[in-house]
Amino acid sequence: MSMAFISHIYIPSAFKKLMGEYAVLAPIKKNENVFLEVLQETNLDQLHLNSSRLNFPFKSWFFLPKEKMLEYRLNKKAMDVKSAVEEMRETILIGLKECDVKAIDLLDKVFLDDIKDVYYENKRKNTILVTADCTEALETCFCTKMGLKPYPEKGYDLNLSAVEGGFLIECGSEKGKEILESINEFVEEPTKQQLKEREKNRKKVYQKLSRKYKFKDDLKTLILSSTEEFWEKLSEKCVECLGCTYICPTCHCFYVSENDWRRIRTWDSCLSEAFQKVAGGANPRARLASRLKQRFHDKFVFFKEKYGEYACTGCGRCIEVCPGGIDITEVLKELESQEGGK
Amino acid sequence: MENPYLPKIAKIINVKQETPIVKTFTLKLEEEFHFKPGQFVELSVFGVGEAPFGLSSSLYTTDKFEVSVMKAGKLTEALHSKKTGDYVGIRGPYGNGYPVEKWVGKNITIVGGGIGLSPLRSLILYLINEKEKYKNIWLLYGAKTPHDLVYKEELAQWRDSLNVNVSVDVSDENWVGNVGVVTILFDIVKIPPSENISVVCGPPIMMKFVVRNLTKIGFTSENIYLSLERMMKCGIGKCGHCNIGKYYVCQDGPVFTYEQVKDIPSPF
Ligand SMILES: Cc1cc2nc3c(=O)[nH]c(=O)nc-3n(C[C@H](O)[C@H](O)[C@H](O)COP(=O)(O)OP(=O)(O)OC[C@H]3O[C@@H](n4cnc5c(N)ncnc54)[C@H](O)[C@@H]3O)c2cc1C
Ligand code: SF4
Ligand code: FES
Repeated sequence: MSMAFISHIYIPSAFKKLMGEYAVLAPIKKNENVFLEVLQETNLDQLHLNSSRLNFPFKSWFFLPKEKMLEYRLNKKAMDVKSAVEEMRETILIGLKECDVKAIDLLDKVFLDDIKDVYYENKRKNTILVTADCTEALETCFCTKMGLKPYPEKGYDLNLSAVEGGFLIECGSEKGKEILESINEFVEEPTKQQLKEREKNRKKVYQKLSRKYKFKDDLKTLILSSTEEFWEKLSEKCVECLGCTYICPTCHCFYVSENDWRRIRTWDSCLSEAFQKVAGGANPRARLASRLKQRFHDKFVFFKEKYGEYACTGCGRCIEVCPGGIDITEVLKELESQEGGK
Repeated sequence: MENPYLPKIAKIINVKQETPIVKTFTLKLEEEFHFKPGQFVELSVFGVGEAPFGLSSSLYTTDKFEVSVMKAGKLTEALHSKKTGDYVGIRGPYGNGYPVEKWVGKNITIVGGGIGLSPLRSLILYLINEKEKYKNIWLLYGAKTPHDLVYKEELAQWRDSLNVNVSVDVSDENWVGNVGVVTILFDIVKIPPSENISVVCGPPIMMKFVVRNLTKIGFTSENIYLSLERMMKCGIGKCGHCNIGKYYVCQDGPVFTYEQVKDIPSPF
């Protein structure tokens, strides 16, 4: 079976069964807020199967905001250095949308190229991705402008599509099939009607999104057409909170420091003034404008040249977070109007 | 899973004071160490941190290797307090290194400033050994004062194989050589630009002026090679710190032709 239907009634029982076998990490709704938590009997009734992307990026599971890399111990005069990669339980991760799996695919390019980042690799290998179609679009979503659809077609182990009375479950991998097998008793064959309904829902959300933003497709050329003044002007709005880079599902920069015989890495941001400051004080990107320029160039020019894709999924989280009111879609639109005027 | 962030333990087997603020450390790993001139290592002082340093020794010596370190901040100070017999961590070698094969049959002009001579020393030791493969070799080296010149005895030995020219910004009573920033050497030594590869390493401002001089003499930007320095954390293309334009200095560099980087704002 590669596709099945599960009724709402059986969802708690299916999860209970899976919780015996795997750790299940899922969005849990507490009052109005949603957190990613280990699913347990006690919070099962708060499980939140989100209709659009959550406000935090899933990278924080694979690439922790702060994580231990190494531990040392003095051994006579030499040093015992131990890699801090921890054995972990196979974990089912719930709540990802198409923009989230795409972001993971982009992070894979950085962290799993010929030199593999073990911490990320460990998490990635032991995580099963359960995605879902978006049934609503947020005000800030512009995924379709980045070439995505609001439903995953690859990159997942299991994908859920909401239909009347429950979910259609589609397998995207052998692991997905295995999991679906294991909850066999709770699922049934999908009907033609349900499959049709899925198509209808998908089309509806897709159309709603495609209508929202319009800027041209060659974003690389667009960004390259920018002037220094453009970034200077933009920098007047940025308060350097670095929020946009932390919330961005594809930003991967980190700092490494040492603390109590541990080596630790923490998320870092190319917008931070100290990012490229070296001993002696030289700072190639001392100006905020040059750092904002870097951020946009990295997303739409450098990443594209290096890995063949834009490092933006159109999730719109940075628009939501920015206290300075910088909206990436507005930036692109403004560049386009300037380019057109040239 | 192999951890690329896990350093190997190296023993310090010799420490040489080059200048008041530069020391050369000879390090030994349990295994052999192979590298190319122009590459670097990430060196850990445990409990303090990790930083990149150019390999300064000869690639023909594989049972030990050297880095020359200028005191510049937290880690470099801690490293300076280390003694023979102490241990540090090593990852690498990283980076592309100098494309010496491409330079066969050419003249080579090496320009170094201060501690920037460190990776160039590795190149020089290689070129001396493979002398018959290359034409004339010039070394133009400048430092702030006579006390800031590194590899002093070697500079004298290298005169047998290369055309060595040294200058200091500020002289003292014992100095009999050239005085002035390194670029004054371009007025003293006549360097033919044709069939000539120049290799530059030094502080940003020095590189900027050297490139200007080289271009004026007639070197093309494809024939000017620069060792760039950028903030580095991982050394393996993940942390993003060393990025310049579409390149990561740790992987695509640290050696770049001027052609590759000339359109990037503040490339040095
Ligand atoms: C490819 C490469 C080769 C180098 N080769 C040499 C060499 O042969 N000899 C030498 O003396 N110095 C060399 N440097 C510079 C050397 O790495 C810095 O002087 C050193 O990192 C300063 O560390 P600190 O902790 O003492 O200074 P702090 O100012 O306390 O710096 C803290 C941390 O920031 C990072 N950092 C700071 N400055 C630099 C910098 N210039 N480059 C990279 N990371 C930096 C390091 O991770 C450092 O540990 C090289 C730099 C690069 C990029
Ligand atoms: S979120 Fe806005 S204010 Fe904060 S760093 Fe990003 S652009 Fe600047
Ligand atoms: S040092 Fe981390 S990407 Fe180059």
